[in-house]
Amino acid sequence: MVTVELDIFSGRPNPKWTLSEREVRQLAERIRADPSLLLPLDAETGGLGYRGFILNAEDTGSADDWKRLGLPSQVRLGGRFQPGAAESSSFLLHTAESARLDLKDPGPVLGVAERTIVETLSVPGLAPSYCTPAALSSDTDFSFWNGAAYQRYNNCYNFASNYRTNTFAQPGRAAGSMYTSIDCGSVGGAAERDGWQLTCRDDINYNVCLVIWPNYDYHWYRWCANNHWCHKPGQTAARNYDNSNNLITNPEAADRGGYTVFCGYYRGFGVVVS
Amino acid sequence: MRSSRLRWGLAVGLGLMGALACTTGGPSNPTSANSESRDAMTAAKASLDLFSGREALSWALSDEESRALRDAVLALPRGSRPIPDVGLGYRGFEVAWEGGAHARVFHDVIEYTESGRTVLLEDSARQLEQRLLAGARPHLTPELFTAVEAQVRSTTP
Repeated sequence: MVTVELDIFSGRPNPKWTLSEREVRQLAERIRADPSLLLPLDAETGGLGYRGFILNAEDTGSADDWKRLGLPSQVRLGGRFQPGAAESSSFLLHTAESARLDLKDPGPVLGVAERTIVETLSVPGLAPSYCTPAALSSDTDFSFWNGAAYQRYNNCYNFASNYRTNTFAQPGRAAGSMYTSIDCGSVGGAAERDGWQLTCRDDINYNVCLVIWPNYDYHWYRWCANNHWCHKPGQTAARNYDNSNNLITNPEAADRGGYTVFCGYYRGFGVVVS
Repeated sequence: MRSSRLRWGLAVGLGLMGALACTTGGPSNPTSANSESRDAMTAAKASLDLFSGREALSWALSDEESRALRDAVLALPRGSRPIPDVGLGYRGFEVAWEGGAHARVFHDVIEYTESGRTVLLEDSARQLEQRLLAGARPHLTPELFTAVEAQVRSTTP
């Protein structure tokens, strides 16, 4: 059982709530994808006001994802100085919405935390990572993808690779070894076997990034012209906006629905997918 | 297995191409559409439009369910709203009958295509979506079903 403590008050006891089994799994997946999310209990995370979350894992004897990953029983996540944890902090904050908190009016308290989390995003360091020289396609003309004869048969990975195969391409399939689970390591590793790389190419680069809906699906974005990120959600039309209809300038901060885990950036050019 | 998939893909593809190749101005009464082909449409497959990277989950419908779904679709009144552009996440169910008819179901909006003509229908009680959701349960893991169910129940896309 994992309880979350929103570290925000100075005099009053902080609000606490318990995560559901599913929420624990989602959180564990985030931590597994990026262990640097966790901070020691005595880490400096801010002064008065929002200071992140304290996670307490109580051993109830049952095997859960927290225990399986060997995560510590008491640890910190987020705060004013950890912009890389902003998304996971937002995730944790949203778990409070369905919990019963010992607060008369939780709205303003959660609102303060949310605003501070958003503010951390403006801290330098959480900006999309680009490699140059970059290969850029139009951020508005998606006719290559959205025709009736191929829109349905090409997915986000096709779009990211800028390679229309009409096979709903899967990471690793062209290399003969697909992903075996839906997490950053497995899907990203499969993409690397196809030829995507973490480092920049000297000649030319498609800049793409991978996100995960933990355990269920993956999604890719590609950097296009005019500093916009474009994508193609499954069988739908390719586009340059997110689930909130906002143009995507930073895929890390875009509304990605359930694809809450941001895995990282990959580079390649002429990568063959199938 | 592979040839079956190919046939299925072709059927779905042709149905969709028809849907996309025309406007939404269909027959004045969808229930009058091609009743002669109804007998040929006993076999159907349903699929869940949910994933971005992975292939859509799909399953075969029994002849009885296939007929019942089509009858339910054809009994619906005309609508005017198109299926919204959701992006990532649950985007609805699709049913493709062997004869080429095809329906997309998202909340209370149904886009039904037959013989190359598409009509928008309205299911204000969302019974069709609920029926497809119930039919999806055996084909999804319990956790995925719960996730889908939550998104289906959402009143906004």
